[in-house]
Amino acid sequence: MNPSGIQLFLKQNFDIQTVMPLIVVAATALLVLLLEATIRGKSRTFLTAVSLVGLGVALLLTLFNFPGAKQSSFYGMVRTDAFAQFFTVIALAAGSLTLLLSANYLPKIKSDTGEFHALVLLAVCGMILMAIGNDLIVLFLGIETMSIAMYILCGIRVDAEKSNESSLKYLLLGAFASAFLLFGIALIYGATGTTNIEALINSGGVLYGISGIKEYQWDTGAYQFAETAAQYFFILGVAFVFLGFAFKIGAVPFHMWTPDVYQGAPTSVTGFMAVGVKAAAFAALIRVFLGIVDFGDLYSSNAIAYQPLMDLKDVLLGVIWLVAVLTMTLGNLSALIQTNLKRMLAFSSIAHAGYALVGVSVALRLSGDDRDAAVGAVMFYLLAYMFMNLGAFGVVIMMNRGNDEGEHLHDYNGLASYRPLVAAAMAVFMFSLAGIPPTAGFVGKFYIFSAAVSAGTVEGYGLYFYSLAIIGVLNSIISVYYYLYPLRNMYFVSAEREHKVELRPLMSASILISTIFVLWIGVMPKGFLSRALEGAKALFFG
Amino acid sequence: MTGQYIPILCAAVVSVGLAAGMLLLSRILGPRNLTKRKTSTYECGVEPTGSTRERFPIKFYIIAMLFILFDIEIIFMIPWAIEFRQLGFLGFIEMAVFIGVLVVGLVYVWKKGALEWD
Amino acid sequence: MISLESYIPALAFLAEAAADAVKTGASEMNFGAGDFFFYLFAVIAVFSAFMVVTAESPISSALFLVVTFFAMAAIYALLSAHFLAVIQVLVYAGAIMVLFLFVIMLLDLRKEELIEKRHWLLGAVGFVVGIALVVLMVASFRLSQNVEVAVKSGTDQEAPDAAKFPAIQESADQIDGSRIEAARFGTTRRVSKHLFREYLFPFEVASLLLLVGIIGVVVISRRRRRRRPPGEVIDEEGAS
Repeated sequence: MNPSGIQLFLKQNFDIQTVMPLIVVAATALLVLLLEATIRGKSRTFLTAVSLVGLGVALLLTLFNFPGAKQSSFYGMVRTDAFAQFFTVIALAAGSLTLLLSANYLPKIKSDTGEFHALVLLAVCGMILMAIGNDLIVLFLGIETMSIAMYILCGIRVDAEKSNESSLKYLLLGAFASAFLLFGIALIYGATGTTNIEALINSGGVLYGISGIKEYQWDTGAYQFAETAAQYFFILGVAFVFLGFAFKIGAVPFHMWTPDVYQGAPTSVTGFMAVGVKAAAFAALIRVFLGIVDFGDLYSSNAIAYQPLMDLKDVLLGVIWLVAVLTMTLGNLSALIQTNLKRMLAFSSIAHAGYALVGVSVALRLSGDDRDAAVGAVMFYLLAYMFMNLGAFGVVIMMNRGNDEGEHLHDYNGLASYRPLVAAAMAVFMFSLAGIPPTAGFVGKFYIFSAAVSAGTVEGYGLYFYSLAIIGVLNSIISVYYYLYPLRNMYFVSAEREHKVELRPLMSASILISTIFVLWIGVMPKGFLSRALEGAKALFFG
Repeated sequence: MTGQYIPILCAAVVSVGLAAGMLLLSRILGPRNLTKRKTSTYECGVEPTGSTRERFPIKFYIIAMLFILFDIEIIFMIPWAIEFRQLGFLGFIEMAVFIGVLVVGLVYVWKKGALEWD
Repeated sequence: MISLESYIPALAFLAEAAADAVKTGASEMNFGAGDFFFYLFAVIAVFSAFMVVTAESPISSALFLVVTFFAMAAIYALLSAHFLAVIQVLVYAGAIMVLFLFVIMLLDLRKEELIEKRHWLLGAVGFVVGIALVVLMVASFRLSQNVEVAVKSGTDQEAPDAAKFPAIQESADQIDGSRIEAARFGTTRRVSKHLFREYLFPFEVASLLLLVGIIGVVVISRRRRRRRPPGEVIDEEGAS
């Protein structure tokens, strides 16, 4: 190979620039870990600064120096398109806001360790991997890196029994889900001969007869590729992969872990889990399932007679329809009866996953501009959800008085009278979560439900999508009750006694940033939406 | 290729057969005299107090867990070592990055004192 | 579509296949040595896996798990995944089993703590789902005989962009390739070639995953804080 050939080879397959944000975050994590191990002394606040610098550099690289084009690198393992860029930004922003929120909170819960920062950074690495991963193996590694970091973060309060319980529950159920996911990936590989999503599409929709799916011919005594068997393996694999993702996004009926895990974990971790893990899981879900559906379409177009795989799209639609409806409804109804704000937000995060699933189900059934609109709506919603939910958790952290005190709804009584700004910020977040204009939450819901309504105009799917939109809107109305309940306490109930609410600079900054973005996205959604749509368009292969 | 496993198969069959045979033979041939004293843990020693199964200190677990993690690191090095020449300088860098990340982990574990016994 | 209707012909096929096997007799089937060993180890693996779940003492469960791991390693070897077979023995049957035993001893569960308190309905649901999965698996094999080959077969279509995805090319080669080629498939050399080229990125990411595991060990096993006598060196988070 001549020198220029080597350079070309390196450029094509080892283009480090495409994964620069990931490398920066990982390197920062390593640095933080070394500092934590070598530096004596108790305060770890400076580690927050180090981590934030790393995340900031990565954020700048992502925003201004991202390859952007439809470019895959490392032998097609990663794909750094606008879609990846969008979710990388969400991951980095979620990590930064979490670290800001934690800076003053960690000493309060006696967990001020450098490991916390390193684990948050490594979890962000996992999320970035899920955003850029173009191969099921990379996605799986990303999911595991993120999840294992999360299991540990949940249990970082070694003293608190609830934190231990949260960690263990999450670990056991999460490992179970990961096993299903991996099994599903193996089945898909067995049926198609590749784990690469791009290769899946480029294969032209052909199932490969490798990896042992051969059947014994009783008459001739030979082994032959079993076409139908491969289809069933593919379908089974898709089902298992969906199951794994459904667990990660906390969709019903795989949501059972959510309330206990969310309540037991340190609050800043809970916020990170609710927005970061969910967004990353949706990123991977959308990329994988759009690839799978496209593969199914190509396969169907090749077929000259009925094949079981042809029904995949409709079956998926039915399953996701049911899951979305159940997720929205159960999440909202359970949130209604909670008296602990943290637990209420946990249930409400289930409901929000349901809203996002509405968009996903639309995206899976439609094609062209309609699909772009649906995917873009989901992306936009996840961005909005990150700011509003992390903001709400920020206020919960601010109200925390060590242990679990200050999380109860009546702890918010009369907050507006002695901390009007905090109460105002909380009001913005609650309005946004409930979907009341002019906040980000309203715009996000509007785009998702309008995508569902426009999908309802497609011949034969009116019942599916109109009903989905109607159920979604009804659920939003239910949610208004429990989101406004804390506001009632804050503004219309007088305080029995004033709680000490400390306005620490970093925490306040985090809440301020969240408030600004919730309002900004709510008032001027155009710029954000166009970036989301750009990302959605980039998902197409070829 | 699979034929290479025949010696392993033979060894497995012989070792399993030998162990099973010995147990079986001693069961058949050995005299059995099960009295209460005979079956006690130490026939002519001190009576044991309490269960033999005691809780292990967590130290064992930490060591075992860290062993597995670094064991996996070593396993990745086997294929690298076999193809070392063909992989060239690029392969060297690849492995250096991999090990570098884990060396940071080792330094961290070391400094944290997780490798010390008490 | 995986619907109920799929099961009816599947069950019929199951019965038919069983009758077929009885009629022709095992001797007439083309039953090579490879098949024999596959079924031998498969039976061992499934049996010992079953024993893992049903054994009363956790220690015997763990020991049956070792048997399962060995049987799995043998199956990997039969599939000419030689490297994987060795790793399976080294890591799973070796290191991970030791860890399992440590954990069992660490917990030291008494027998009365292990009594199941499961609702019978859960068991029933599990049984039905299990049976359904088995039927589905068998069905997918047997049904395929009945369906005419309605799709362009997997081997004669255009190869995907091989330069971009060498893994596919490799796989495709293997279908047509000679038996010797297939036998080389899982050797350490082959694994190495793929691992440090196409799978370089996942390989490097694996180091991050291992690092997270290392941090987890230290964090989770960290001792609870306790009061220290004054003057002692402060090493708050020390795991020791």
